[in-house]
Amino acid sequence: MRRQTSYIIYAFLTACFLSYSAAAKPLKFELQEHTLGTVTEKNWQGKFLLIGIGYTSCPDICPTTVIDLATAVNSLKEEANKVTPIFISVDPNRDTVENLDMYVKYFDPKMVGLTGTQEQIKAIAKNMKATYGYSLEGKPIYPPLPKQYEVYHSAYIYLYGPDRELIDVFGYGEGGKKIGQSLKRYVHG
Amino acid sequence: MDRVPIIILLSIALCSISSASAGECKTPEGFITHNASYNLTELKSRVSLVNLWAVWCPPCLKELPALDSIANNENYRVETVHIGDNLPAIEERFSKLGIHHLPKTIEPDMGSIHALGFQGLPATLVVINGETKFRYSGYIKHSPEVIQDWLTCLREEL
Amino acid sequence: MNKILIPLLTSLLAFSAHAAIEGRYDDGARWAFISDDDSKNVAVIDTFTFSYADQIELKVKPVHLEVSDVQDVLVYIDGQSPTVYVYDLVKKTHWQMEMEGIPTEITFHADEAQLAVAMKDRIDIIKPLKREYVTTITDIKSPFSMNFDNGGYNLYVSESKSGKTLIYRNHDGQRSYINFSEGDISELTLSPDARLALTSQYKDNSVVVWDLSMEMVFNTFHFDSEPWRPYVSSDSEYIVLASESGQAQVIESWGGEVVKELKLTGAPKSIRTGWIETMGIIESKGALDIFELSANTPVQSVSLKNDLREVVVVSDSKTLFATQEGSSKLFVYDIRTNKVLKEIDTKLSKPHLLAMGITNTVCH
Repeated sequence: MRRQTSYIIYAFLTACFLSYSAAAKPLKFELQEHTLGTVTEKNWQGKFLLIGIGYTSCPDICPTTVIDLATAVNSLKEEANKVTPIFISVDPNRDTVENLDMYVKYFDPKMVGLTGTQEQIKAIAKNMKATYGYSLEGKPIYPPLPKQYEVYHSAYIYLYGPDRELIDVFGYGEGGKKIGQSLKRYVHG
Repeated sequence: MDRVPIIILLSIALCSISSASAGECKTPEGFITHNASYNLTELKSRVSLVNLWAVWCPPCLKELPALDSIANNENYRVETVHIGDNLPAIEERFSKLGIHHLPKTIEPDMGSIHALGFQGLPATLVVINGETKFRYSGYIKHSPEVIQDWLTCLREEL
Repeated sequence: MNKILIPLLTSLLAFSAHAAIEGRYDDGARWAFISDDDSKNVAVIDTFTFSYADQIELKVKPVHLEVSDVQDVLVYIDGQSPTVYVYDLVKKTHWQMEMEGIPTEITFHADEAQLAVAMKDRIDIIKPLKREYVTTITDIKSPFSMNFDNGGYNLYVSESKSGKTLIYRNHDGQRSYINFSEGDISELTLSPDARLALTSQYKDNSVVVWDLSMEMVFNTFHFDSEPWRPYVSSDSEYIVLASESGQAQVIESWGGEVVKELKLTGAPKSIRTGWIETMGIIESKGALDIFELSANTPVQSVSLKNDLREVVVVSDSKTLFATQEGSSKLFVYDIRTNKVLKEIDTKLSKPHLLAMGITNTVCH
């Protein structure tokens, strides 16, 4: 009788754990930053994280993801330091930690640029439920990569709380100002 | 007696409101006709190619030398506008790329890209007599000569 | 006299600038265009503020409506005339292009400038904004489905009766064929990462998945009743299949394993995904079945007052909008919080088609 009960409790707890983790996992990663070296979700303690993904060698047109991150955070004015804007490059083949840092600092001094090994990038993309990949002439290709290739990636911007739980996701076309308005509510709330 | 000047003035107003026809100049592929007032920067010529760019944008840097090569022309002006306040980076870039004829105008507001209805950079506007007439998103896929001939034609049409 | 004139001129000039900015429904992720079965009117809905914005009158009642986000045009066909109709969203002008036959379907290339127009036994590729004809594809048999891959590199034309699929390479017209299924088949579905091509095969109630890179069948899934057109999530991670009897499966697209099996309220009417592609949403008669794609949690059913007509999940994947039978209002569902939101009145008597420039759904 006791064994059955413990099995039932165990099964119930497992079910709870599964449903909790599937809804939206807490942020977990290991990546590289130019000055800090290896960083994880434990860095920037107490801060909200506003994260966008992409790469720096846009072929024909460069999206405004990093501008949107900077605009959104800056719209908080005195409370801007509560949110750390982070840009993750999913193209470590061409984006080194150093040139990524130089790139993000063009937009705003508080912008953080992160990248990593292919494994580290794959891990965080999976964790965030972000998509990315490489293609050539309409077909997907995988590392080791040739000289020329295109990068595709999801265009969402993710907001994680100080507890590293996912708070919200913003879509393509919303723009920094609108995201900033939502940020204000979450940072206050 | 008062009616004559009023009629003339009203006609001028109505003419400037109604969209000007493209005329005889063949619009290069990718340039979309688009009428709007232009308020971003001060323009010095009746025909201007306003090119929004940034040091962090590789395709923008790729087209700067081509724009520079056709900038020295009395028929029109190429008005490069850098999005983001960073004169040292602009000067370094221009020096590295050997740019001599393009202005180093800065638009500090990064939100202006979106405000102009563009989704990214580079972004180009063709402004005639203070009114935007054409727009182009992304890296300009034409030889500089094609652009030069077109802008010259637009000037001659006026 | 001057006291009136100068302010008048100023206001006229200001009005022209104002009109150029207002009424610009050119943000493809924001504006939804709804057609009406009873009139030529199209309602413009703001999906950012969940409100009615405007009404546009078209030249004919559309049976198919597409939006080019890049070129700011609405393109539509009426299923009766050999014409493609175009409306410029910025200049608010109408024009049309005459075709060799009556178009049955239209679909934009990824560049949103080229449009493939399906007619009987042929496809014409045109550029509606420039009013140009690009090329014609013949030697195909109707009925067929057509899909550009995500980059627009190829156009896939799948013949419903024979099961033959033509891969037409856009830039040079080179043709190749794949025969991975035997007709009768459903419309073809492509995974957004161009890795897989899927179709439902009616002769044996199976769904065949073809690996485009490996050039071989990846897997075949069997059902006990007619399968719906296959669906792939926008991140290419999951395949969602459903059949007439209400059986549904979620398949992980890399390994090919079935990660979830579920029973729907009834026969499926549409399949969608949302909330950063963690949720599946399938409409059956009278209910919306919502489930987590990979987690072992039960299906939640939201009962529907009215049957849904066209269902769209917006590009931020958080909200679902749908036109309804017997209602002038849009059904709105928040996928993230699992809540039915306030309906939006389209002011149309029979709202039907729902078109947006950019959505979360890459294939129907």
